[in-house]
Order: sequence, then structure tokens, then C-alpha cells
Amino acid sequence: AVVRKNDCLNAAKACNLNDTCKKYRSAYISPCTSRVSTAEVCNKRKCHKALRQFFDKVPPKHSYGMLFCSCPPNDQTACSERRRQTIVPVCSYEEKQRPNCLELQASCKTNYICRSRLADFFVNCQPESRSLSGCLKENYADCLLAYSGLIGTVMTPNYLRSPKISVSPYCDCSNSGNSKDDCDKFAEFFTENTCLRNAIQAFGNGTDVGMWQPMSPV
Amino acid sequence: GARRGKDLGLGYRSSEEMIFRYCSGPCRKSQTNYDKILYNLANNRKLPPKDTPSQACCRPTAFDDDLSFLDDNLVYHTVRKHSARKCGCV
Repeated sequence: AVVRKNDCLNAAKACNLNDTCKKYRSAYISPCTSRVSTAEVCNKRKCHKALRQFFDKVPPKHSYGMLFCSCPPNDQTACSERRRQTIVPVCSYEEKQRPNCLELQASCKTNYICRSRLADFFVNCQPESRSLSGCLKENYADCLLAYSGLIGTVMTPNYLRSPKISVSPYCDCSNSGNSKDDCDKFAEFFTENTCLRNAIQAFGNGTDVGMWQPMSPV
Repeated sequence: GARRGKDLGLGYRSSEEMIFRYCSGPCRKSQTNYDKILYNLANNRKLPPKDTPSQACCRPTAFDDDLSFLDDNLVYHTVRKHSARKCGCV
């Protein structure tokens, strides 16, 4: 049998061999996988808090290594599925019902952390088709930091099951009424964002290594 | 050293790895009066012949942080008290 390389598996191995990464990884997986009642699969608030801590405390080399690992384009199982499972989506991402994206945005704006992190994301991952990087602010590290900052808020994004890299918070644009265009624009900032896609790919391919010096958490 | 999930014998099928730290070594220098008395009684054959209480033994006195991993069926597991952090003759 041909053993294909699995960057997402390798990143998980590297994490568990590093004391800090192992500790904070387990510290979010525990609450994100512990059933609290017959009705709820987990305590979502605790899961989100522990996920924010993981991305605050663990050096990007390890945390991004798992979140932005690169998978072969036609892989839909071993690698991509593992990458999708990084944030324990059954607890941190999925809801009983998929809300409208503008409603979700409104609920994010009522929370101080979510509001500021969403604003960061819109500033730092702004696409610009005329720039070589695909980004208005040509700094992939800032875009990835802003994106990973959304994990653990109500805007928690995750990879969609799609052949190309596409991410979205858990919402859609059905029932948008007159705001359909606004909603689509908001949703596409996640799903069709060239700047974010290039930043993720550059990290995964290791083509942007110069920018990956240790940085202090914000 | 690093160990693969499948090597642990806990029934998990996972390709992830972990560091397993264990305790080993002699504990002949008894640390408590209990151990000294036990040692002397055993040596002088003052104990019932079929009764041999354990001597001090090199064992974990503290464990590493919990370990979580994703198995080959994409299910998460968390194992506790799986690896030694501190050892002692207890």
C-alpha cells in the first residue's frame, strides 16, 4: 500500500510531543467532548473558552500546524477530515439550527471579544485582487492570526467539505429577505476570500516561513 | 520515548504519538521505619511463610497532564494518568 503523507496527522503528533501544546490541546478536547446532559453534547461555553486559550497560549508553529495543515487537493478523508475535526466541530461549531449569517453577526456584535475579533478579521484578511498576495494588507500572518482569533466566539469558522479551501461560520443566507445581497457579501468574505485562502495555503506549503517568528498572544 | 497509539495496548486505533515516561530503579534503601521493620521481619523469617508484603517500589508519585488524540475513526479520546511526571520509592 502507498502511504501518503498526512500533514495534519504529523502536526497532531508534533503537538502531543510538545508539553505546552499537548496540555492545551487536551484542555479543550476534554470539555468539547464531554456530554453534560442527554440534551447537550457538551458545554459549548467551556469548549469555546478552552479553544481561545489554546490559540492564545500555544505557539503558532503548533496551533497553526494543526489548523492550517495542507492536504492533497483530492483528499476528502484522512487529512481533510482530520483538519475539519481540529476544533471539535460537533461542539464548537454545529448548532441544532443554522442561523442567518446577518443574525449571527448581530449576535457577535453584542459580545466584546467577538466584536473586536470580527473587526480584526475584516481588516486583516481584506482581499485585493491587484496585489500579488491577494491581500490588501500584505501580511499573511496577521490574516491567519485574525482568523484563528474567531475560533471560540459565536463566529467560530470551520472548513467546509469542498475540494478547494473554503471556510464559513455556522450560518447561511436563507431567510435574508431584503438583506440577501448584504448577507451574501458577508458569507463570501469567508467562503470565497482569496486573501485568506492564499494565507492558509502559504502556511501549509511552508512558502511563507520568513514571517513565522514566535509572536506574543494578543 | 515516543510511542504510537497502537502500541499502548489500551484498545485504541490511532496513528498519533505520545511521550510515555515511566519509573524504574531499585528501592533498597528503605525510607521508612515501616520498610526497615518489614525487611528485618522478612529476613528473620518472623512472618507467616506464605505472606510476603511488598517492599518499597519505584512508582509514579505524580502523573503527566492528560493526553487527547483523534483515533483512526475520527473520534477523540482523552486518557488520564497515563505517563509519569515524578517517581518515588513508595
